[in-house]
Amino acid sequence: MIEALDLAGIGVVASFTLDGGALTGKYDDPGAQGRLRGSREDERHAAAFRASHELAALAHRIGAHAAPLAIAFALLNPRVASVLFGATSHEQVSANVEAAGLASSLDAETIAELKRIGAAAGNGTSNQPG
Amino acid sequence: MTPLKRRRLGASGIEVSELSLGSWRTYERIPREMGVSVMRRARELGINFLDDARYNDETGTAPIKTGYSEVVFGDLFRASGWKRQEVVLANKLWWEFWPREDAAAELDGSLQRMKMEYFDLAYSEKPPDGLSVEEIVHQVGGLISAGKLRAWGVLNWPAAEIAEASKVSAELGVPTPYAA
Repeated sequence: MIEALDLAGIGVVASFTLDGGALTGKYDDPGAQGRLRGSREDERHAAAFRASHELAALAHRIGAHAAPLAIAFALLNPRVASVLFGATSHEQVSANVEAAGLASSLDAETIAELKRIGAAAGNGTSNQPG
Repeated sequence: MTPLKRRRLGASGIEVSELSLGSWRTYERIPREMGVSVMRRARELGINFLDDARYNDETGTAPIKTGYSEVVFGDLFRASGWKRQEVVLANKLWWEFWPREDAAAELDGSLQRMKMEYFDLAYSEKPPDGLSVEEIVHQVGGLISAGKLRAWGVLNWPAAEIAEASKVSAELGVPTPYAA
């Protein structure tokens, strides 16, 4: 895939960077509301749910939240031109713009840890197109 | 807040903000004033990359069955103060009504519903049965020549077909897909 993208000169517009919310860590709360409620056992989200624990721990360590860190992770990939997100309030827009700023302020150690978490989840070398 | 940076969209020469504001299953579900406030905030914070995605009505109240999301998007866009040339506006070619509708008919429908003259980018969904990659490249090339599209991309395509699109585009003198 990477070869095909590079050959054509394609920039990736990354969507689903929170895996539908699985990477936010909010579903660790059994009472959490959201689209993935009841999907904890769904194999399609298993890797993201596993990664969400490490992501949350890393976020806690640097005083951030998991969701912005997941967006920042996508922006660390030089093939990514933009991260696509949806918002139903202007506060969500502001939060995501802050997340984009986080990508350029991370230190080398945090970036290495993020990439390790991403690789373990199977997303370390490529992003899903579209 | 750190200013939002711009990046090049592949080899297209188009510069887009690091964040792209989507619309999938969004604006029909929230009050109009909230939709306007979302777009206004995005504009204030430097987002210039907007993504429209047509979907069928899920509210049961839309005046048209398909594409009302595009009508709503166009209305909110104009209400939020954006000028057309300020943004990179993307849409999709779903091939939803292929072969009854070709790329030109599908894109024209979207442009009319959104009251736009052109899109900067259209992502083509995977080729439906009976439609070759070469035919897609040919049809997309026609839209670019007609000024209705500046660039195109692919959505959910396997690597082999992306490579084929790249090769066929070069052979037909059509810009290669620049986004995925």
